[in-house]
Amino acid sequence: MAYEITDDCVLCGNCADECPIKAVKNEGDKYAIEQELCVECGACTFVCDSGAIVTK
Amino acid sequence: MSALKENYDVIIVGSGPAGAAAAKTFCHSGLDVVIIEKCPLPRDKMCSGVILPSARKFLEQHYDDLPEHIFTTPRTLKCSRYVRMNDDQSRVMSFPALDLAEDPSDEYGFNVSRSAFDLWLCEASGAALADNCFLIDYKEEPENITVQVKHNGKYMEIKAKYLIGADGTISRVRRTLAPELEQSLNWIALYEEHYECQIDLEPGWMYWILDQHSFGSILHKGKNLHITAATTWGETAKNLLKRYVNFLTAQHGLKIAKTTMTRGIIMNDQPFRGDYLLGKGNILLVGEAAGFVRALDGITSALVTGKATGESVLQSIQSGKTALDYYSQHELVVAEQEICNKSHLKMAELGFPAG
Repeated sequence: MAYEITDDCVLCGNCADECPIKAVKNEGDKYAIEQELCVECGACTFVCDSGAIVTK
Repeated sequence: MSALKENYDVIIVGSGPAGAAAAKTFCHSGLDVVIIEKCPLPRDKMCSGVILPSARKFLEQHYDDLPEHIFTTPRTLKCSRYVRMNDDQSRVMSFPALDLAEDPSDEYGFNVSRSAFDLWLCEASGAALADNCFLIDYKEEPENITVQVKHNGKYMEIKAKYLIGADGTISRVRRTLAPELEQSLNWIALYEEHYECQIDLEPGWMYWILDQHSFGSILHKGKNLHITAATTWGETAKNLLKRYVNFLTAQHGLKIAKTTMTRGIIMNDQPFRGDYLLGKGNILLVGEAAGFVRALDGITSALVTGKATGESVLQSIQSGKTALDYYSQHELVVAEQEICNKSHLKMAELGFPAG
């Protein structure tokens, strides 16, 4: 279940703070998940209040 | 699932075996207990889903027989075997144990579905269950612990006398309790894929893949083969899994027809350095949240320390001393630290590079 961050991202940064392996990066206009690093644990999804983190 | 009330005697965070075993200890005491779970239930969890002899014994002593619906096929695993990536002939070798905390004469494990097993344990506890309930934070007040949660998308506060962090390796209860410990943790990534496939490894065994800096596992589960990769150094877990798949394709006749699942999990190094954190006052950590994981087996530690947590809270209610006063002295907790430490040493002796 790979995850991605959609344009609903409001740049709060909760997901990046939450990710234990730092696979979420700030790309300026939104955050993005580095797919090779991400192990799909889903921890970021619980702290996203804008519903921007979805399964691919 | 239950609606949340404003007040409880005990709030347990996490619906795994640790939380369920703690809850079961309260079952007949008349306490008002809720287990909150961030996922919808039943929730799946990345785990081999093998109940090892140590856990089997605990379950036999404290629970009714395991119901049939929690089992997958093959129903039991005989023992472990391993292959080494650097072995030119890629021999399948016999491994001395399935359960590193147990006598090898008592080997065999049950092959179960974690989602069904964990939910059965929770339901057997008699506690109220609230799913889709994510712990935001909590604070201690003189009379209560106020716990902020997001339940079905709505932010709310609930209160309890005791808070049990049974919320695993990425424990939010631990994070608030000991931010300095959190900063010091190193994280290990595990990644897994499930396949409909052929392979020339016989079902009914737990297979380990050992590499210089990593290890993985291969397990037949239902109609699928699960391959898992755990990395403790620079290589990503996804890349490591690709290497395992290439190795098994070349050496063991792996032919993948379809990938049916990809998922992962993170573990920290608390168990490998024996750095247990039991809690503070009437906030207790249990299972992996406290650092209790036996080598290759988190379920037994979770059940054992869960029971100790429950008993410590009951003693605290009777005496007025804090739950931690009892939990930190509890014979099961003292013994579990030693068992965990020994099992990790044994794991290293057997050539597992983790830790």
